[in-house]
Amino acid sequence: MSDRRRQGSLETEILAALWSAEGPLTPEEVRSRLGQPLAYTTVQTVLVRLQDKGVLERRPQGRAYAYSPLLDEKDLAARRMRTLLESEGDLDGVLSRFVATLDQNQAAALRRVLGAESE
Amino acid sequence: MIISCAFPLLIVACFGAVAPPLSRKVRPRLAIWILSVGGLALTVCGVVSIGVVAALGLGQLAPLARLGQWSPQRIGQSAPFQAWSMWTAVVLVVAAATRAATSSWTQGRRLRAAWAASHAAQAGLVVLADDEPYAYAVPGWPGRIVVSRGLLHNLDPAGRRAVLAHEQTHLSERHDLHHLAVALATAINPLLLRAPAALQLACERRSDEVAARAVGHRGTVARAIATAVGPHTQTLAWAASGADVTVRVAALLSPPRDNRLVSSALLFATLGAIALSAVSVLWLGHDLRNLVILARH
Repeated sequence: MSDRRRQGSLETEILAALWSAEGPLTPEEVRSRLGQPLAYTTVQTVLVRLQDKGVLERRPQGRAYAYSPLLDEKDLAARRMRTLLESEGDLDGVLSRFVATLDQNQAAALRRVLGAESE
Repeated sequence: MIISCAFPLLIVACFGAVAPPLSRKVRPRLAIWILSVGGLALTVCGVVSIGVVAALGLGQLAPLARLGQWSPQRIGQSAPFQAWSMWTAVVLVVAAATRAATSSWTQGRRLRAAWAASHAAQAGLVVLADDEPYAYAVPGWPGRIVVSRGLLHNLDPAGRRAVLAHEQTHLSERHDLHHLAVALATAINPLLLRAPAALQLACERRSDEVAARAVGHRGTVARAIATAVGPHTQTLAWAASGADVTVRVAALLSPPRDNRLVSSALLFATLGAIALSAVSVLWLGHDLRNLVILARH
């Protein structure tokens, strides 16, 4: 993986961690919520860069800062994405969805295979 | 001439019938390339060979014959095709050109809309305040990942990594361009009817495999997929086929499978088909040139 791409995937992962948290997180808290072990300074660097981009806001908490994602409703990107979703009828091929619609039988089949695995 | 004209059509018909089902049995990355490059290259060869037949029909029209300074009667005498087949070929070529133009226009517009939206985002991830669980990749340079807050709240850190790695693979491997190639080929050539769905599955499977390697556990990716399957996803009309999700989960829960025999057979058959088609088309061009030279004397 190229360095730039690694940086990019780190950014998305840290943003995702912040979004799934209930409130603002300090770099240490972010670090503990990532799926991979990372150095404190690495997390800190990415957080500062994201704040510079205007994606995060921070407030002092103890001796560190706590970061939270800026509300997306004001966000131009979020609005564009939503327009994209709502305006185009058939986006198969352009947007690759992670999952699909399942009918009841398919959902039951899915639960069966997952259940068999966890046993 | 009849043989070298029919050959590319026969090959692309075989490819359309055999490649999509077989692509499900080979490594997803190989399947993606075979479907997109194979489908498009064989379609181009097929269209060119019909185009030659159409050209022989059009060459008999007086104004064109004057322009090219050949004898329309001689073309008619030496062309080994019935008049009706040449006019059918003209109709087919015009139809293919129209469909190619319409399809590129629609696909181009959709991609432009996606790129514009994706470039409005400051960071690689856009989170939408939505309770329905979903995630998708919006292509662009470098492209963005969109997830709903509903999905993020239902995933643990490993599951989040799995979803992000999955979507990132769509972007970094440019799956949108493969979709574009297959959409174009299928629009021109209805024989490839089953290719788009097969490509869709191959792209999802490939991203699943990369995600499984990134998080180091196949079951984690399977569970993340199941998490993102919500009862509300039905409101999104453009969702992929549901059968594929079950296939993907089942594939993740079994050890990685690599059917080397089918993989190499499909790879070499596709490469061979492209080579034979291309040679056939070159041969046809050569015949056409000779025919025109004769008709000029």
